Amino acid sequence: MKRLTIKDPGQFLFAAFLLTLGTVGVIGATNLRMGIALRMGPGYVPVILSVCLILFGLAVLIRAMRIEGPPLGRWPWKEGGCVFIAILFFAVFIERIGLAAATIGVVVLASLAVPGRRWSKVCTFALLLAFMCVVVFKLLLKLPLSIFPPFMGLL
Amino acid sequence: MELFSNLLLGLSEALTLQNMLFCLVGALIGTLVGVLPGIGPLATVAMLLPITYSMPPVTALIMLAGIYYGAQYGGSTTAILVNMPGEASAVVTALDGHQMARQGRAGPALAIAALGSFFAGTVVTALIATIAQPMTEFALRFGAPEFFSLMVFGLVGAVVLASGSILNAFAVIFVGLLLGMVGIDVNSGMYRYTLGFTELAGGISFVPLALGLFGIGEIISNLDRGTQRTIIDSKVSGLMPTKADFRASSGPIVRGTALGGVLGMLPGGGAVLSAFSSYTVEKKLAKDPSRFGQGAIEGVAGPEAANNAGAQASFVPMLTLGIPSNALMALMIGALIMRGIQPGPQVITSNPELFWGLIASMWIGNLMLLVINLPLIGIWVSLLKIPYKYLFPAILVFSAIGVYGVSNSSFDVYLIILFGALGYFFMKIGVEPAPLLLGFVLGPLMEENLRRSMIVSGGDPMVFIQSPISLTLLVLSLILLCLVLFPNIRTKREEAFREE
Repeated sequence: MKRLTIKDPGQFLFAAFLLTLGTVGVIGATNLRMGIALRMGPGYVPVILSVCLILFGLAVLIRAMRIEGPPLGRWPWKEGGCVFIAILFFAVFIERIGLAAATIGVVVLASLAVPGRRWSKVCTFALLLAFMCVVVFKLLLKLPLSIFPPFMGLL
Repeated sequence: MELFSNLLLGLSEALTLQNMLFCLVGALIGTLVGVLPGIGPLATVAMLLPITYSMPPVTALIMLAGIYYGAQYGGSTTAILVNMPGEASAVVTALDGHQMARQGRAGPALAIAALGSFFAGTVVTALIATIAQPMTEFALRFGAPEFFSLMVFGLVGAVVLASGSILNAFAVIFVGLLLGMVGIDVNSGMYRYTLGFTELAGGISFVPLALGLFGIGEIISNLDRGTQRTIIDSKVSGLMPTKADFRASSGPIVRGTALGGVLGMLPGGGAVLSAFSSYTVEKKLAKDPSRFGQGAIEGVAGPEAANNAGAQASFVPMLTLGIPSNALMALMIGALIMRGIQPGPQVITSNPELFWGLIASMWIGNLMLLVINLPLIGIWVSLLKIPYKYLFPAILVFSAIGVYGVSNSSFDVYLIILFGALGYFFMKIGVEPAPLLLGFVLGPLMEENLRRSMIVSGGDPMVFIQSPISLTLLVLSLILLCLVLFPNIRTKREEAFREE
């Protein structure tokens, strides 16, 4: 009997993901009526799908233990973090600071992800893009967004 | 003669000033993203979906379709000139196209690629126009069991024809199906998996899901890899191919068009599969296969015709049956549903101007691409100089504004983060996320049709076997499955995707 080792880390993570999602799916459906095939309740199909996901997860898990796969390498925490924080910034502040400032914020935060940036260039680009977004989204497409912070009472 | 009156209706719709303008805009944007590596048509369509919200549905579809086939043109340009396929479907074009460019024959390669694409676009437009009507009439006879089996066939086909592990593809489809269950259940009014968020009552929004999976995941992946651009100043002189070039490429173009027209319609098919298959076919047919990879014009002509034919043919199942054959078509269906149009065989009669207008616009769009692309090649190539560090913040901003603009709530913007993380996770572990979108779109439809079938049959699952159409579709799915599990064909399939 050989010791069990993870031979394919990527597939192992995928199996973990499927098993988690399937379990959450089953738990989340416990308050839903299952019903029978003739009169399916709201829980019928979701439970079947969740159970299938768990089975798929097990199959992927077995494969990850048996077939060699490539190593995963490093995770881009910094790059991913910057991208997500930039989007988060937009979501949180768009209603408070308006389109122009939100755009500038996103560009500045996202630019933290790349090495060797020059802030003067980043800021010029941010201003340019903010101007463009105002023209395209506010003036041409007329999206219901305010351009400047609403408390300033401008546009 | 009904066909002609239909096409006339389509042309009158497609030739309005507004539709022509957005057809051109779509074609140009498509070419742009086709040229730029790191952003594909899928992410672009997802990004522009919110913007099309203020347009009439037909205009929106015309523009989004233009992006798809425009990207096929654009991808070949950079593949030939700088050996950088901006699009997956242009990977094979780069093999021989770039060799031709190095031999100083970039002009003829580009011209043949554009002419081949245009020929394919014209033929497939005619093909769609002729088979759409009979196909919808056939599909109108479908009841719930037939539709359910058709969707099963579509999903199985998508898995079989996709690259990579079949187990993974199935698992990803089921993830999509389950995500499609989120929201209020139409039959019972119960909330499913909404975790207390009222924003999820109507289901997970389509746009942040698609944008996160394909757009944001790709951005992080690019940042991680570090995109270095090698800029080669290539001068293009003498566009005209020689007589011998024309003679050598006419066969491959016709074969590529036929191949793309058929493969594009299959579930899971589309531009990429068509291009790869065409290259393999031409190499097999060639008298001297060793010329391939050394600048054989056949290796440019065939795949270029095939990828454009495949891109356009994949609209057929979407328009006539309401079934997406690939992730991009799933987006198109999303665009229609967002506007309150349920795609399916009834669209051709309930919205004829939408149906025929879109088809006519494809031909016009192809003509525009032919005319605008060749003279503008210099501009497209110079666009490659835009550094990624400026490109990606702009994409982020457009995505966020677009998603916020549709729902006017920050909730969907948060969802981009969630699905962006999921998209990157899939990319990192080498799992193709595209089938998820198919499952997500088909999930609610499949559940509804399954329910109806069961009510009609009194809970008897035999109903799927008793209907001849449904039985045929299920048997076909089974055959497809056996084919891939059968080792011999499996290696062939892997070969076709590894042809590089």
